[in-house]
Amino acid sequence: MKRHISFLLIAMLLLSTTACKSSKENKEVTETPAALAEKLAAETITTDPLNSIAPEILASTYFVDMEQIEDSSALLSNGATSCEITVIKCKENTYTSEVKKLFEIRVKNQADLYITYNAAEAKRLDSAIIKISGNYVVLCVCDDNSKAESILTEAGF
Amino acid sequence: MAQRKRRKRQQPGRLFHILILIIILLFIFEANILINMFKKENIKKNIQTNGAVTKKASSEKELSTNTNVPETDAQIKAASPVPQIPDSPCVVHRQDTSVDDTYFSDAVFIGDSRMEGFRNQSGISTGTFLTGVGMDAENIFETPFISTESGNITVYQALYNSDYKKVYIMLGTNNLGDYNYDDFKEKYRICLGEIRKILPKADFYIMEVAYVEESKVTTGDYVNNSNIDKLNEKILELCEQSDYNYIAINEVLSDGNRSLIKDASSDGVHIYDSYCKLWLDYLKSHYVNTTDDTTSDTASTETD
Repeated sequence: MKRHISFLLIAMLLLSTTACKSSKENKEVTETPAALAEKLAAETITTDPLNSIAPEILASTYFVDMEQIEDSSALLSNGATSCEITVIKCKENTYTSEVKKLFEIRVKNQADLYITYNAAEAKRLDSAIIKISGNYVVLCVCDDNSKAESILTEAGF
Repeated sequence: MAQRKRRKRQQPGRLFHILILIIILLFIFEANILINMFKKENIKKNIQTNGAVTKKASSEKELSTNTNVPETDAQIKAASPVPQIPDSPCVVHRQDTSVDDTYFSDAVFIGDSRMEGFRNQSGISTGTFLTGVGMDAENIFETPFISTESGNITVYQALYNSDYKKVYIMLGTNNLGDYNYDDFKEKYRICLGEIRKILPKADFYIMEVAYVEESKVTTGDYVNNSNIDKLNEKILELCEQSDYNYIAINEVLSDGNRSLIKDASSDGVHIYDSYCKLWLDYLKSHYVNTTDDTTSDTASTETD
């Protein structure tokens, strides 16, 4: 009887830790776009100083509808590389797929331009990270993709 | 008695093992949480220490409104030297009042990666930017540099049917390797002429090519300040002959010795944010007075 109880206890403990893990994997993004973008820039970009652009410039760069955006942050390069980090929080998650599509267009256009000018930058653009989580969409063109992936997983992407 | 004692010791032993197991599992679980907490703390510290690298737009806005106060190292450095300004009637001189960002709402900025860097780093909030890496006075005609929702298009396609009132353009860095700068001048003349056909009423501001920090340049020996001087001479001639306004941007980006200010750039060519802000402030205080009310409406009350 006692053996059964001990097995039951162990099974319960294992189940509870598994449940904690799965709930962590599905957690929502709580960081602000600015905080997440700055974290990505600080930890994944070493070649180029990025700087925050005005929302008006963000809108014309990515062709996003600012009316549908709750909060955003875009850190762009001084022209030396193709590095850029943009995090957008949409008002409704129905707009996220459109933003993702616009990010993909931006990356393709940049890659088309760089391919004849700077092959290394074109390659960097080929491995651009574009992800959706809840109302958030992130674009990350950086030096350290594995670090960026880890930060984004930690953030809830 | 001895057997009883052994039995009593064995029975709590099992429970003790189970309890130990539970405690170990709980400890592992708690330790995991603690490790994650420390990781988050480290990330926060990193962000704080790297805060200077990525400044927020709000601080940029403050800088752009206080154009006369040298707040950054860049402003202090740039304020000390006295670079030569070309003596020509087409050179745009400092106005008594600076305009604000809205002045550029009907302006189009055309240029290469350096102009793109200016857009990204200066904190400017208005204006249309038709920029692309590798743009020069020749390939501007046929290369699709400008990103749209349906792919890249040429500058001329992007300008088609537009009604911009001001044109700011800086090309030439990617022509430094051509060496025949008379040929460059001719190409630039055609390029500007075509834009003028599309925007006949616009004010044209042709920016001279900004100097480079030669010791950092890795793209080729031809990217040097001697060649930039030669190219800028041709640009000035072109402005005089075709009646364009010449913006002597090196007045604020030069170290006073015909070179880009030391450490104003990571690669010697593309300029850091604080210097791009100086560049923007320069454009705000260097414009031509027109009878258009826009200028007086957007001019701030600050005096230089």
